[in-house]
Amino acid sequence: MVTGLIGRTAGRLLVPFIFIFGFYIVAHGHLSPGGGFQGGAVIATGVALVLVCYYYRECMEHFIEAKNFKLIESAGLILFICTALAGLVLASGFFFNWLNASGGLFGNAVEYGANVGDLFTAGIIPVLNFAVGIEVFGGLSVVLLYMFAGLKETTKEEDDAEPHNFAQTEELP
Amino acid sequence: MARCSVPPKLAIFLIIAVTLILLLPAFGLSFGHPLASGTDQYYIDHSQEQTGSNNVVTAIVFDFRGFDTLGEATVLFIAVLGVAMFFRRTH
Amino acid sequence: MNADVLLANLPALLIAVPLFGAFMTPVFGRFLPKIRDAWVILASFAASAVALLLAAQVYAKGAVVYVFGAAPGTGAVPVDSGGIPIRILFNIDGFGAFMLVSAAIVSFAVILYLTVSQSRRSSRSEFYALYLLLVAGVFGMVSTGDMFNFFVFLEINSLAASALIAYHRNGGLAAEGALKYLIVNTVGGLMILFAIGLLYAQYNSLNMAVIASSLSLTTLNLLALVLFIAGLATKAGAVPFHFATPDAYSVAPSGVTALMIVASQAGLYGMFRILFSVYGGVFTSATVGWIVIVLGVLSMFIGVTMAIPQKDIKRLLSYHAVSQTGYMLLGVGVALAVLGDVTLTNAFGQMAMEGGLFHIINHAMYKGLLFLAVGAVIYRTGVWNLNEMGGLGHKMKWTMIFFLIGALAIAGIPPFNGFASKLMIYESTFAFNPAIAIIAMVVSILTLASFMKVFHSVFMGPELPEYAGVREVPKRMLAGMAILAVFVIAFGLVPDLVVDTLITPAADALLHQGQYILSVLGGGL
Repeated sequence: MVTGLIGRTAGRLLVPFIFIFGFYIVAHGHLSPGGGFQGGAVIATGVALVLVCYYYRECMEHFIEAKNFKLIESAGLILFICTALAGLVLASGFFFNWLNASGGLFGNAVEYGANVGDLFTAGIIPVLNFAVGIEVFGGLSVVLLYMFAGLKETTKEEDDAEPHNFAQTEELP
Repeated sequence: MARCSVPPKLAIFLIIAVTLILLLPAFGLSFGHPLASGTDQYYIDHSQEQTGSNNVVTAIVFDFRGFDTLGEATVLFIAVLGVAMFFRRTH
Repeated sequence: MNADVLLANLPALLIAVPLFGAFMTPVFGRFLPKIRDAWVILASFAASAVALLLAAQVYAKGAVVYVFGAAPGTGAVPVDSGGIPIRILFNIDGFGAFMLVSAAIVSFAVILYLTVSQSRRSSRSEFYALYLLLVAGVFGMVSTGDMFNFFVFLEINSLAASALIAYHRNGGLAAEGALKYLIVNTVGGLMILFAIGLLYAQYNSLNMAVIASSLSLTTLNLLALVLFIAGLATKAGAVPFHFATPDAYSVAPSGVTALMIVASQAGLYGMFRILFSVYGGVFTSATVGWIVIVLGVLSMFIGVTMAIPQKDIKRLLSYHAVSQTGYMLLGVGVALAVLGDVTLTNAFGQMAMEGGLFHIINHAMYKGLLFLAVGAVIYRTGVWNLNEMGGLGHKMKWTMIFFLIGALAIAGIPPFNGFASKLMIYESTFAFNPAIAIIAMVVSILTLASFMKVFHSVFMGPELPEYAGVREVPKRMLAGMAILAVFVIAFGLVPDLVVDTLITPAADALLHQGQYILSVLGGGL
């Protein structure tokens, strides 16, 4: 399905902001309300906007296909379980927070009580947030794409050939 | 297509009655002053030092009870796989 | 990373291995499709191996308690928490290990069967991934010691099973069965969630041992118990909650139905765990035991009487599955009714419990074998109506032998395993209440009659011309059936050995609630 020129332009402008906002929600899960599930759903609305604004067949030429998003979804979950298994490999225990206060990637220590909030704290929690965010984004996009695939669409030539009379409306009985 | 054998008004009455029967004893619980709060207090006191995150909810969801989050992510995966399998095209 | 680390963390691997296999299966299906089947069989083999190793560890050393995410060196109870466990833990005692053995054997036999019988269909990557997730759900449901974790695995179980049921899509029939199964199981799951919420609000803990140690029998807890029994009986397919079971089992692929028997028995595991280990010591009368006995008797009787007039062969087998669930409920219900009385428990309560538990694994084996054999017949002929079949024993000899083994086992004929467990149930219920034992024996006779009819109409008789081209099924499918048949025969030939090794630890673990609480709260590491 396609919207008019205004819809397409506005959609093109809004999609990067939606992605950045969703990414912000995912990344700050351990500092403010949010996290993986919520942020992933917001990112998926960006894909929904693209699907609404452009023809489904046109989207398929530009990477927005169900099989690509299935791969994204699997990648998110594999990242999740590999992070959990890394705790096992490092002789700690399955699902242990092995990055917390260790000086590594997300390993700064947190002072007790209310504080400003450092992004690089909390160990594996941001990593898990990213993994869940990627997974939810991929999963919801797959569902959207499968639902859209069932719609009957007009083609671009048919739409351009038929004049849109927005001024004239029929008289209601 | 089978016709419903229960008239709609009776069905609505039964649903409301069962809901009330289930909810009424729940009002016997004391809201706001729980009888036991050992686990909750432990989470509030120790989440910053043990998990390093300011957000206690995220600490519970992803660290103290992170295994349930793996289970819920798996449930989402199952739902998406089910949709993909059910709407497949057999060319 | 050496073998010690792996052996110490087996409960984590129990869930991580099938989950990892399931997450990688779509990736293999897209990029390396030739080795996808091998990957699925390898993942299922690894998962079953971990389950059997863990069960052996439990039988050798006692209950295994594993805490997820604890710092190395700390146990289930942190030192500064005031004596309550904080994190999620797995508590695998004799009963859990027993269910793991049953699930491991059936899941591996079925994946051997499924990789051949579904080889002509599309979208198999998702199918195999869902299968591995169902296996992970069953493993998790029978190992966990935490209430909400149990609910999460119950959700995984129900959702994966209903997605698998809808695989064949034959004109909407499978979709209807899957939808019914999904709705009924979701309602059951929500009832269980409400009950968990009631218990959490009162005791502020989601750990089964902590709730068990502080439980008393108030109105709210009785309401929670009723909701638990109703929700878990829905999962297990007991009457009067069995309405989704025949529709769902008859339209699913046959291997999937064989695994769903195990999945529904995980619901029975949940019910017995709640009744004995969480609510065990607070019952003052035999009322709850009698409720379970009544559920059992109703299931036995209604299941077999609905099975006799069926023409659809898989629907007939599903009603028999409902009927056999009644035997398990009957045995364990008798044990629950005499739980407070030590002399009666020693006289026949322990034997009733052991009979009911032995019937769980026997039923998984012979009902799985029956479903696989019937699936083999449908795979070759394409019909599932009894009136249209006949004379298949000439061409499909091995399938006929496997079906005969399964049919004799379900009817309770020695030397197959059904006889051993049914004998224990008969003896103990006769000592409890003779009328119930007589009903059980009548149901067994009706089961035998029903299966003689099925065997005769499918395999006996002259060869029909429309089935002239039918051959035997491929070898891998026969291998899967053979694994189950070996266990059916072996458990029937040496029942005493099986009861002593597998069943008595399970019955003891259920009957002694104090041991369950002690292994978690007493500083279990």
